[in-house]
Amino acid sequence: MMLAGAKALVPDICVADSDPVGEGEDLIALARWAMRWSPYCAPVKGLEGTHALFLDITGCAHLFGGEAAMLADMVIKMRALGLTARAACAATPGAAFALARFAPEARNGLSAPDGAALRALVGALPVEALRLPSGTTTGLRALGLKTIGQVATQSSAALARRFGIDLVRALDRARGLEEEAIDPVAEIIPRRIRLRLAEPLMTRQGLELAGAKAAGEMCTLLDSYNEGARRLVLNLYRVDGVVLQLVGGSGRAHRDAVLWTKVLCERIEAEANGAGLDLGFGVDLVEVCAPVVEVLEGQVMDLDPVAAAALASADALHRLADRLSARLGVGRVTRMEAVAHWVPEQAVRQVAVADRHPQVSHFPEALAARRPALLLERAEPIDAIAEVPDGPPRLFRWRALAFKVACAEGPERIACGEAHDRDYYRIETSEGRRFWLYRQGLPGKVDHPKWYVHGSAA
Amino acid sequence: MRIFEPLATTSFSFLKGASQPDEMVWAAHGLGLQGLGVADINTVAGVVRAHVAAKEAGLRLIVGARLVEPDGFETVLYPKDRAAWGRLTRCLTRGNRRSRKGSCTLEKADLLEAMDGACAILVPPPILTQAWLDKAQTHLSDAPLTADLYLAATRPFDGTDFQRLAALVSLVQGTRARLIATMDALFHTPDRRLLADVLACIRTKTTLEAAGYLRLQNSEKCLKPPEEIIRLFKGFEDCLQAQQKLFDAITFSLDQLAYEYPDEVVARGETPMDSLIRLSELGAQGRYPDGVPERVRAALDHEYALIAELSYAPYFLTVYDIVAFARSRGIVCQGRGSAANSVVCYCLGITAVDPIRVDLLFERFISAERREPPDIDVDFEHERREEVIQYIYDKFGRHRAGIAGVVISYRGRSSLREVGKVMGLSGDTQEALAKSVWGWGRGGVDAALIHKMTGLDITTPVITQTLELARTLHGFPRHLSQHVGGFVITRGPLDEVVPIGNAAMPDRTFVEWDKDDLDALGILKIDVLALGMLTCVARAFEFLEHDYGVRLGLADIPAEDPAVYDMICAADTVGVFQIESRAQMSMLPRLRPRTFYDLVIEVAIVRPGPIQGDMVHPYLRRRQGQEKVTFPSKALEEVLGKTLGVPLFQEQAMRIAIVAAGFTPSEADRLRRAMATFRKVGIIHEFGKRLVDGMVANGYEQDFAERCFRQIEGFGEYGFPESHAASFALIVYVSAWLKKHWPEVFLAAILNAQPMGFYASAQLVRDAKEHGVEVLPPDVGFSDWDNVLEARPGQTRKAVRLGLREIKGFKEADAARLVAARAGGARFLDAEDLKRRARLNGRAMDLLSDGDAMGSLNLDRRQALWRAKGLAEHALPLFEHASEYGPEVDPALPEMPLSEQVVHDYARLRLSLKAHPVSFFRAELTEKRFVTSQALKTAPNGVRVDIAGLVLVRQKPGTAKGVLFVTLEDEEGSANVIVWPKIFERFRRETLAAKFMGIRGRLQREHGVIHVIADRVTNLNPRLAELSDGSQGFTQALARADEHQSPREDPKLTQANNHSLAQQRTTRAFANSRDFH
Repeated sequence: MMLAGAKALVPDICVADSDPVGEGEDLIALARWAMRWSPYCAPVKGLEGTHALFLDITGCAHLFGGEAAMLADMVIKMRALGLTARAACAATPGAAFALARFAPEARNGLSAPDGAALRALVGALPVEALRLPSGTTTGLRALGLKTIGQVATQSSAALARRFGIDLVRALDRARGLEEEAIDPVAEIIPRRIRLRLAEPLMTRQGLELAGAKAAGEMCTLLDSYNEGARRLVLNLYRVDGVVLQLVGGSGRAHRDAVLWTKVLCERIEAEANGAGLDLGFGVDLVEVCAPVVEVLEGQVMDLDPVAAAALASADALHRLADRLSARLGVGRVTRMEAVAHWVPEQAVRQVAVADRHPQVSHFPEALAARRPALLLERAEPIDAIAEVPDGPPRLFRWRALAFKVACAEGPERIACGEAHDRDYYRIETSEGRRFWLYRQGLPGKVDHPKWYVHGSAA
Repeated sequence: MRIFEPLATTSFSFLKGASQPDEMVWAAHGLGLQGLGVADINTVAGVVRAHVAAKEAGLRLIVGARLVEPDGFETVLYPKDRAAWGRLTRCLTRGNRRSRKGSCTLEKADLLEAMDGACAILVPPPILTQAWLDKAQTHLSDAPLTADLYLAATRPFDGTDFQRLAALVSLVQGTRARLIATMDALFHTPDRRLLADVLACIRTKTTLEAAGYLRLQNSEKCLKPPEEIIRLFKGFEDCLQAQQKLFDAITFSLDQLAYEYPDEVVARGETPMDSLIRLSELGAQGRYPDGVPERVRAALDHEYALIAELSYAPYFLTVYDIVAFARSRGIVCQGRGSAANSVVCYCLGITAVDPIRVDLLFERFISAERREPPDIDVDFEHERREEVIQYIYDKFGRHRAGIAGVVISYRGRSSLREVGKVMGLSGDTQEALAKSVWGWGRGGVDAALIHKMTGLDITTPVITQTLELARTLHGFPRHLSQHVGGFVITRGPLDEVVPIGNAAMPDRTFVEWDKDDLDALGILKIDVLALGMLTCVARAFEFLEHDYGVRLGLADIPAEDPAVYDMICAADTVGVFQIESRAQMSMLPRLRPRTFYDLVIEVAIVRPGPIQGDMVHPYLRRRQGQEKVTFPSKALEEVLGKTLGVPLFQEQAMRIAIVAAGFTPSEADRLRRAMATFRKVGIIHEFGKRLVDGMVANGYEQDFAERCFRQIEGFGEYGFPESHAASFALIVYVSAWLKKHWPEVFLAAILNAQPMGFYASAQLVRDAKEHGVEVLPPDVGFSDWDNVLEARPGQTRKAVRLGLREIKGFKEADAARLVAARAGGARFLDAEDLKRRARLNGRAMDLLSDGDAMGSLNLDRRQALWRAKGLAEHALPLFEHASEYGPEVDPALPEMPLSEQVVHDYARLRLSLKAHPVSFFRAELTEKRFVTSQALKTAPNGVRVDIAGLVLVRQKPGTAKGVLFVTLEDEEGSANVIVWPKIFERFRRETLAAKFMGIRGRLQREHGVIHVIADRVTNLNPRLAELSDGSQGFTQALARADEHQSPREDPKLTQANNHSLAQQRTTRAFANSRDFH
């Protein structure tokens, strides 16, 4: 059905984009979680968007009180996760899949028998249970072969000739006659370093030492995976069970042990100086985790001395910014950034240094030539005498000083919305001082335009 | 000093100019400017609109184009005379042809050539660069001496105006060029700056928020009053004087392009008029073998005089030439349009409608006073139109014939969506807003409605601004496209009249002007259109000749056959042209057409115009004698005499404006055009007020006047003039006559012409069967690709044998090989023989089996499928007879139940000759007190009924205020259901999703038309699954089994899972209904 059609049916329908990649990832995550029942667990992307997990439970069932109890446990635990699951256990993956999806008993977990009994059970299922492309199943249905049992009565040679060997194989798999290899998920290894301390730490110095050790080990770990981190989390487990968490960040991903040590120590120091670091009866476990890592190939030293120096100085600036941010707070260390906007005071903004995507917006060269070297933070009102309707000012008074305009260039008209449109002039006073002035309110729009000074040349 | 604006860019500089051409013109006029120059970027697509507006406003206009070279260098060219115009359009054509659709790549050589005899204005970029100055220098020195050279002097208020002017002054020193003062207007009023920004954002696919320097710095690029311009160029008075010089130098006007009719259609040594009279007289002898009647003679002479006066003879001769070609190839065609219903056209064979018979007066369509070009559209059978098009290209050459353009404009929804995107609204909000503006052009946006539908607060600034901008954008051109069949033919090279551009389709080109533009300039244009019903009629004529030896043509059908009108009055018109729709069918028993002119009215009356003008019921009452026929005035009696005092046709509405409200003919025409593009809301109301006031002042009733206006409003968009109605009525009559007297011929012909019309094959076949036609299934032993007639032993009339084309997915080439292999009576022995001899692949064999087309091989559907699938894909010739796998025993496949056969028939053939799907439920339906569609006919009025059937059509006409019409079909016929909005909202899902629908409602009978007014709607789709899976199917077994399960979890899960699979499978087999909104 087309979305438009669905919306016609249910006007307030909730729409979300399909996300096959995300679904695939979720299925893998679910498979990892399902390793609680068997280490041998594989996600299966079924046909037409159906998903399933295959678990090889050989030797595992008795841990859960038998197959039936295990299946019931699976269904209940999945339900607790908010998932609707159907489970079946049979001699082959094919049979288990068919039963799980199409046998009504699978709702509460179905532990199927072997041999002829299994074949009878599977035989009653529709041909869709064979996990074959829809072309094949419709073809079978058109011939009146609607259940697996009906298909199985035909000769294999005749079936293979018409529908390919895949049908015969699928038939055998579903009927418990042929095994099928499954591809289990691998375990993920968290990027985590734990230091268990025999003696609880009571002092900041001790803490910093432990933090430095953990940070160093973490960087070695990251190095072995060719990864870098933008953020390290320092968890301090107090003996009384309270966990203190400190987070250190960086503007770019790296695995420089010295740098990370500095950042973590700065954090500890900042915390101690700020809210205070209550270590209670001591900390007996120090943990450093890298929650998000990025691939970071080893860097090649630049042999050109100039480029190397530039790189080093940029690097040094980064380090400084990181350390300042760690100490003062990420939002407090900022830099200026150009914004594409005609209104001068809106053409610049402050952004955090650690901002992930520094945007370099283009400030047109020709425009730069028309703008003053120094822009006042706030335009200051002046009294001015000018030619009507839109001539440049002749005389003006600013901060109690009177100026005589020797020459003027402009106007540069900038729309700021109706009564606030501005006419900018670059002027030079008789003393040779240069200002950037504007008239707010255009002739014909407002009766008494106001004048401001907005900048000056050095 | 006389002040002009030499440079205006309009909306036809797509996504750049923020004012429409006519807005520019009227604003320039209003500001008191002496003249305006309109030039768009690499196109002249908008100049005709400006030209029309300027003529109306009495403003001096010069037209040209702004040629932008690939490096962005801009030169505006205004041709001084006709020849220079030709060079400009040729230059643009070359630029267009070497680029893909919608772009134009110009080279310097083209530019210099086009400069010859033109005024050229070089336009400096926003920031003067040395590169530009150098290039300008070379352009100035390379320009031909016949070119007048200018440099645009502007005042953009960017802070460097005077520096720039000084730089330009030094540039022109020592050259022939002079500076010319201009605002380089991008819009006509400063308020449009925001729209210009929005357009720039749409162009670059960004949002206002992110647009940055893409936005305009200020609003100075607009038209300004003369005093202001003088003030702005104080000290640069030379620039102002240059304006006068520019406008004086140009003598070219678009009017000079008019009436360049082709002349090779005139025979050697004759004047066009001689040729026309000779051919018409020849034709008249054929039309009236017993001598031309007095009235016809008089009409002919009168028309000759008028045509001679207006020198339209070459136009008629051109149309004649094309029609004569079609006739020589046996292509059925029929002319329509204002000039088509003349006696001359009847004699020339352009139309088969005898105008004397319907009393259509020529002057009504062509008036000497208006001097508008004649308009003839010709419909051809749709499958053979391409031959006609090729002929036109051959005859006049591709350099002189081209297809007209169409301006694709922003409409309510598209404009809202685009503006919403630019304003940064979320996709959902855009969607919600766009949805809520159906037809908003008329009355503006309904805030309460939007709030109700979307929950959006319309007073939020961003929303109001979005709506406001979208409303302004509404009607702006978006791009040019190709007209379906409007041909432009000129005497000289076409590319010297109008630029030609590439279409999206390879090797297709079209001109930059649309049909209104061409009309306005009086350039010859003929619509060569495709009409499915003409294909059907042509096929029917072929069958008649081939199978029954009866030769007929459009004009030979016996006229005024009472039996045909009896059938029409009974609304027995499935498949008949135009009057087969449900709305038409319910009108037929009320209107009861008995003559040809009644059909003309029938065709025109069920249209938005008369419905909106509330003219239908007064007409019916008068026709049924329930109301006295009176005329609002003596003057209008002449206009409305034939339609009993009620205006039904577009011409009548226009005539009323002229006769009763005192409009001039050209004003009336402008009124109609203004209606067609709802853009200028203000102007419509102005016109409406003038019309109503004018009529009231002339003593007409206010109510009548307002209804006339509403009708004109409706006509604007869905005009149906009498001349068109008359041409269509003829096709109505012909198709009805065929259906009445040769139903089997009609069925075979209309099936071969599918897809067309209102009904699907299944309904056409069923209707024919009800009329006694025998229909045979497709069969490899008998069927051709097309549906054919097949003789039946002992019967004079033949049966229809369904063709292999009815098998969905089957290819024509496969059918051709199959038929060839069977030629000479060589029957196929079995499936293998068929596959081998017809060289069919596995897929084709599957399709034939699934279409149950192997009956003559004694194979039922399942056996055929099994066999077909078992055949090797490529049998090697040596082993042809030695099966690869050795002999096989046929398996015992379960026999396919009838209901499942029907499902498969529907899935593959879209119809079933075996049974109707609903019939399988009849026993149960009867038990539940459902009645059949037949039983409705005898049920008393007002009674409660339950009916069930397959949904054929869902229709929600714009004129019906949210009422939904549903047509259901069961095994006995069809039933019409009306769903009122309240019920619709309650049963929305059921109503829209059901393919198999149950209705409980009240029976309503009016003038022999039966409707069921729905109270309750049920979606019976799930039941369809039972057809293919039967009672032994697993679905039901499981469904029952489920009921006994302990309901620990949602017991519907399994059931839903299996059931929905089965349901999807079966429901898919039934084609979607045809839904109209």
